[in-house]
Parts: sequence; C-alpha cells; structure tokens
Amino acid sequence: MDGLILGIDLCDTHSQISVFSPEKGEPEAILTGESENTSLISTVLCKLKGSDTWLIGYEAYRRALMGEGTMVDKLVKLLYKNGSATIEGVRYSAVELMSHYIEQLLALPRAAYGQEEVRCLAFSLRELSPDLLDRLTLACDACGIPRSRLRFLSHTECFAFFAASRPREIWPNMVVGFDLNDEGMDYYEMRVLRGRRPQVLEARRESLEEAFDLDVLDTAVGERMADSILSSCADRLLAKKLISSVFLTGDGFSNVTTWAPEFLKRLCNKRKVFEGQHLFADGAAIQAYDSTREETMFPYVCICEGRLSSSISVYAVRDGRNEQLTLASAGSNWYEARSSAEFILDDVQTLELMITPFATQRVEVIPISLAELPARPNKATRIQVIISFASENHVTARVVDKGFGELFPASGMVIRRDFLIS
Amino acid sequence: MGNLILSRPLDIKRPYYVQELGVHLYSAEELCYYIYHYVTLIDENFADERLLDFIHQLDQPRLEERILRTREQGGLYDILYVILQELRYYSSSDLFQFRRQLEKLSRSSQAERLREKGDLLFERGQYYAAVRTYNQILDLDSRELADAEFVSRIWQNKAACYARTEHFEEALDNLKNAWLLTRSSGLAEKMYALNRLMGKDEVPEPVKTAVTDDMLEQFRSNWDKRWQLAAYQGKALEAAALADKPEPERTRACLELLYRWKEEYRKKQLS
Repeated sequence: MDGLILGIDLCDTHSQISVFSPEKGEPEAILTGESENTSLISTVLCKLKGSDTWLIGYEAYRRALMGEGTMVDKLVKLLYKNGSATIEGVRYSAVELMSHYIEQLLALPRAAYGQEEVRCLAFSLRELSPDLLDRLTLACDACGIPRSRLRFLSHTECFAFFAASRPREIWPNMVVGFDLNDEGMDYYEMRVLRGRRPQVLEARRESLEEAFDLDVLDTAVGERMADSILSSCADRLLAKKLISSVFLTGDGFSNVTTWAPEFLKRLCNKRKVFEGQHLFADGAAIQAYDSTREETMFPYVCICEGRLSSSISVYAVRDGRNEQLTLASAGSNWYEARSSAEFILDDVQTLELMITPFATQRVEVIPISLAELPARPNKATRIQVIISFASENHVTARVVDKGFGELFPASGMVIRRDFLIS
Repeated sequence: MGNLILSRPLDIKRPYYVQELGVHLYSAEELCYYIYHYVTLIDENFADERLLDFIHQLDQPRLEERILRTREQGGLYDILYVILQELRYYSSSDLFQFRRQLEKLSRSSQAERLREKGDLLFERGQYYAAVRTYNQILDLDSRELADAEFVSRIWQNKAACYARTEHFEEALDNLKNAWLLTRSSGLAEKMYALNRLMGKDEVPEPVKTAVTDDMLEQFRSNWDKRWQLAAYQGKALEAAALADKPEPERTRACLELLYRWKEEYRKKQLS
C-alpha cells in the first residue's frame, strides 16, 4: 500500500514534519529553507487579502508583514482553548484554522514526494489533552484524513521510540534528552528494563523551571548565563546515572557548540551526544510506520507519559471457562485505549475492575455497584462496560444497561465511575 | 459470588421469533434463556428450519449438526438439552436442574403441561394466548379432567385473563363455572367484586342461594377497603406521582403515561 507515512511535531511556535521512508528504514525531515535549511516551520497561518489562499510558516510572516494578508499565530493554544479568529469579517474557529494549517503542512511532503495519499499521520504533542486531541481529529477530518490513519503521541513517547530506533550501542544504558525552545525547557529519560518479559521501555519527562528566554543568547553575557544554567541542570539531572547517550533538540540548541562549553563538557563524559532539530517529528514518523506494520519493531511495553502504566481487567466466563479479560493494557496509548465489552450478569451485584500496575503486579480492585440497574431474573441483564481515558491516569468506566433483547428491553441506564490509576 | 459472562454481540439479520411471547430472539444467550425458562411453551415443531437458520447465524455448525442428528433419533426434550449443553450458557448444575424439570414434564399429564404453559403466558401478560391454552385443556378428553379442583382452577385462570383484559362479563361466566365445581365462598366473593366493577351490588344468580346476608355484608366491607386502597396502588400510584410535577412537564408526563397505558391495553388485546 502506497502513501505517505508522516510524523508532525506540532508546537505552538514551530512545527516540523518528517516522512518515513520504508526503503531507507528511517525518517527524513522536510527542510523548508526558511533559514539555513531548517526543518522548523512557524506555526502561523496567513490568509491573503481578497483570496482564499492560506500560507504557513515564514511565507505567512513575510506576506503579513507586507500587509498582503492577516496572520494568526499560536494555533495550538487557540485549539486548546477552542478559540476563534476573525479574518476579513469572517469568524474562523480554531478547528478550521488548524485544518488550513495542516492542509498546508501536508502540501510540503506531498510536493516533495509526489504522493497525495496519507497512509498514516502521527502527531507529536508536548502534552496530550482529550479536548485538544478531539479538536485536532476534527481538523484532520476536514483535511480528509481518515481517523483510522491518525495517531497522537506525547513528546516523551516520540523521544523514547526515536532513541529505541537508533542502533543498540546508543542505548545499552539510559538515554536522556534536553529540549530547549521558545516554549520552555524539558528533560527526557528513556531506559529499557531488560529483566522482564516482555521488556519494558520506560520514559519520563521533566519540565525544567530553569528555562530561559532564547533572546538571552543574543549577548555574550547571556550566553554565559545560559551555559551556567544548563550546567547546573546537567549536574542535578545526570548525577549518579549510567547514561549512554544524550540528545539535544529544539532551536535553542541549534548553535550549542558555540555558547555552552561547560554544559557540553558535562554531557560529553563517556557518553555520545547528538544534536538535532527534528527528533520528535522523526519519533512520530517512526511510530506511524510501526503502526502500519503487521509486526511491531518495538516489542516492549512502553511506560511513559501518554501511555497507561496499569492494566484494567475483569474476570469473566468465556466459553464456559473463567478468564481474566483485559479491557486496557499497560503500555497502550491512553487516547487509543478506549474499549468496551458486553457481559451478562450471573448473580453479580458489583462489577469489579482489576487495576494491575505494570511495575508492581499488586492488584487494586475498583468496585462498581450495579444495584441501580433494573431488577430482572438472573442471567437476563446484559451490560456494556466502556472504559475510556481523559489522560493516562484518569479513567472513566461506564456501565450501560442493555437489557436482554426483547425479553427484557434495555432501560438505557448508565452507571458512571471516574477514578485515578497510578 | 457470581460471574460475568462474556457476551459476543452478533449481527443477526433474521432473529428467531417466538410467537407465544411475541418477541424476537437475537442471541444464543436469549435462546438459552427462552428454553430454560419457557420450556412449557415449546412444542414438538420447535426444531424447524427457522431454528436451524437462527443457529446457523449464531455460527454454531456443531450444534446445527447435533440438532439434525437428535431430531432423527430423539424427541423435543433431547433437542432442548443439546442446545443448552452446546451453547454453555448455563452451568452444569443448572443443566442438572433443567434435566430434572424435563423429566418432571415427561411424567406430567397433558393437562398439567398445558396449565403450566397457560400460567406462563398469563405471567407474561399474553392473556388471549393463555385463554386459548386453557381452552385446549377444557377440550381434552374427560378422563384427563377427572379432578374437579384442577378444572375449577382452569376456569378461574381463564376468568383472571378476561378480568385483566377488562372483559368482566366473560370473567364472571368463567367464575360461575368454577364455582359450580367447588362451591367455594372465595369464588363467590370474586364474583361479587366483578359485579361491583360492573355497577351491581349483588352476587350473581346461581350463587345467591349460597351466600347469606352476613357473607354479603362481609364481601361489601372487603370491597370498600380494597377500593379505597386501590387509590394508593398500581396504576393510580403511577398517576398520582405526576401530580407534584411542575407544568408543562406534568402535562407531558401525563400524556406519556396515557400513551403507555394505551399501548399496554392494545398489547393485551392483541396477545
């Protein structure tokens, strides 16, 4: 099956897009030529006056500065707030604006690779919120991309899978990353716990309070200060850890060798250090490609931001045998982990959801009373159990009364229980 | 401690229609439930092409084959047992109970089996179907109907069906037949109550001689108490619950209730 396999790192100031090449076995970033062949594309949109033409990135800035159009920026924040912008007297919703932005963004790989079809599109976002993802899905609907071809990943997941896709000598021990950009500074860690079957890929993100405005790098004094800040971060974060590799990403690190000697000295201590601009877009493209394969390239349970750290299951009788039935697996992406199953109650007054953290195997039981359901004879009530997530920790369980065919019609009653998992 | 039974929703295009209950069955679980709880409704023609088509849709080729084989060699009860056994909806202890029930049914007379069927239909609100079944009993050979108490009970059950469908004259006629067999004072009081529903403060003609003035006074007193209680029970209670609702919600709720009652009435008439 042909079609582009894409990863988009969607941030409020800049975005990047990578295309996975199955032939080369790795992603390639789309270079925009905005400045020094960068892959950064400003997350701004400009509508040209009196026409239905939309522009993005540097060209959007340029034309808006020349007074030829109206520009809207901070599109991700606008989408998060479900805001709107009025251009030439017409009100555009954040979803509409995002769909124009994505359409223009997709035009870049389509032109570069001469392919229209999108086989899989993975977005990498700093944080995943259900509202944001729902609206982003709507924006992609407007671009004609089927929902089955969309994936949403956290930066942490993308970092982890980008690192795991590198040669093994890069990650025998822990791999860490620093992301420095206009929106802040984040620190990432990834390691593979090999003692388990299946192996566990564990990753985490820490938002660093020491973040600084990139404008400080415009002066020599500012550069020294930034170097000092980063050095103290490295001392704090890397101490007593066995680290194989360090990845630096974000436009803040684009000339890191010229202004951060002390920081680099701390990093380059028996470790491999890499600097690159499109790590998250590449990680997203790798995941997009992996989701198109029949067999995954990453046979790990991934425990990180955006992924469930616990499994949710119930005991149920299937074909006469009592089995533990998993409704959501540890390591799965919470946004995609929504599941449902139907059961018939055989002398059951309480639904017991078993929460099993991957790390400990200590089972916690979440009881949901079914006493409110209409009274019926035994084995004459069918329920649908729907598990959905608002984040990797926040679970919503709904029990819907489905009745028992025409013998006992459904009441449609819904029992809802929200709870947190570790 | 009970169990959850995993249910696999199937896209059944041609559900199995159960005429006696007026319902369609859409799953293996519903078929098992029907067999287990309504075995007396099931007749010898059960394992027909309609059932086999339904089993085929359930994707149970082995069961299809077993039904065909059992149809050749065994009777209806063997087929029912095979279905429950193969679909594994009921536990082995449930199946044991079911087997006992089948054995009991095999030993019982045709009149008893029909009475169980009629009672089940009555419980389900299928009043006309129940009346037809009770009539089948009354049409049986007189040797089957030697027990006057049993026959009186059938007339009473028929009367109950007519009363539930608000055919009070027919109900009264059936109660008279029942009374002629047992002469019970309980039946006399029921007939008095039916008469009161039709605006008459008396017991009907054949019973008059058996009811003293004191008894009649007692019937009257009991009726008055029940009549007063009726304002706080059943449908009256449903209607009273709407009185506290604010407008326009009350009007809407009253209309919905009336619509539901009409539907229930129509269903009774059609059953």
